Amino acid sequence: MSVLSDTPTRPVATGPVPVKIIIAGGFGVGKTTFVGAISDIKPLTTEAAMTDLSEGVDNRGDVTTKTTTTVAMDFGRVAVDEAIVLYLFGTPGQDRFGFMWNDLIQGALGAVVLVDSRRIEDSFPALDYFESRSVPFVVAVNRFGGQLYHTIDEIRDALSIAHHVPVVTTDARGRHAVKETVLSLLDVVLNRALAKARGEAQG
Amino acid sequence: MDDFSGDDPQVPLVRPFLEHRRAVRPAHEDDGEVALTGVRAYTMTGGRAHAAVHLEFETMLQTTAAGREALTAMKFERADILALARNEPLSVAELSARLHVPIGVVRVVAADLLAEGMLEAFQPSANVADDVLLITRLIAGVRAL
Repeated sequence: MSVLSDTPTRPVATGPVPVKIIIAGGFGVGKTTFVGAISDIKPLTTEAAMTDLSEGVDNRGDVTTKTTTTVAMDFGRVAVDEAIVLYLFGTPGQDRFGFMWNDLIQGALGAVVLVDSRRIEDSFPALDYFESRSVPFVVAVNRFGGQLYHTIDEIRDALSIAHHVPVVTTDARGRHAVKETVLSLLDVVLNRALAKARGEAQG
Repeated sequence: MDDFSGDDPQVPLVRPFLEHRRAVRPAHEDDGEVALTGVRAYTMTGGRAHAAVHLEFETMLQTTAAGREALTAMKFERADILALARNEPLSVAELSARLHVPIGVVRVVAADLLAEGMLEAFQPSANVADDVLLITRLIAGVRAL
């Protein structure tokens, strides 16, 4: 045992401050490209075992049926200032992986849901997931450098996106477009934090 | 809310269609490379599945002076983590990716090293979503990128 075992493991004021956002969406929608457009490092791939707990099991407290799936995800890192390090995690958004994301979503500021306007239904699981957990998110339609197959209003209608959720267009290959998309998410996050602070001040 | 205004399957108007299971595709899209270490994850962690300290994916770790000193006496993942995090803080996710071991393994091994004073952890802000100051700084920083 080290003599330094009493060393505090709490963060110290001078160290880096990691924050993360989630980049979600269907297969092939450009999540890794999006992450790579803004990341200081070439996107890395990691594997995590995501545990799928059947819904309602926690409430009943009886036998839990667990299945564990190994999910790979790509992520990038941006040094935002001398302290803040922003991590962008691209999550596999297929099928029913949605409710296995809890471990990753824990502590995330919010999410960008990338949409391919030719296959908007691929974004359903991600949208349902973030809506149901009140995670702040924006919907970003990837132009892939070309035209949209539907207008933003059509996509908003088709996806049943609430009015307070921004729907923007982006180009996952473009650093500027990706920056603007991240900023649109951070605006939502800031407004929510300010509203909550005001609510607490009044209450 | 429930406006079932169209039956055209080409234009789904209402979510969710989660009862409609789609084919499970590979979990990520851009590269098919899979790291195979040939070692069971529980071997690397001494049979344990849970860490004493909870480390997030983005928790950053840096090797302490004690960790640098002890490095030569360490083996396997313990040595790898201390060596990688020697010069700059790296997140749990980065350590996992660079060492080609699952996140869970890094969490367990790093938590031990943390408890032994070999690593220092920089955890994310506890209530980051309410931290107006941090979010404001983040916005200014991203805008200036």
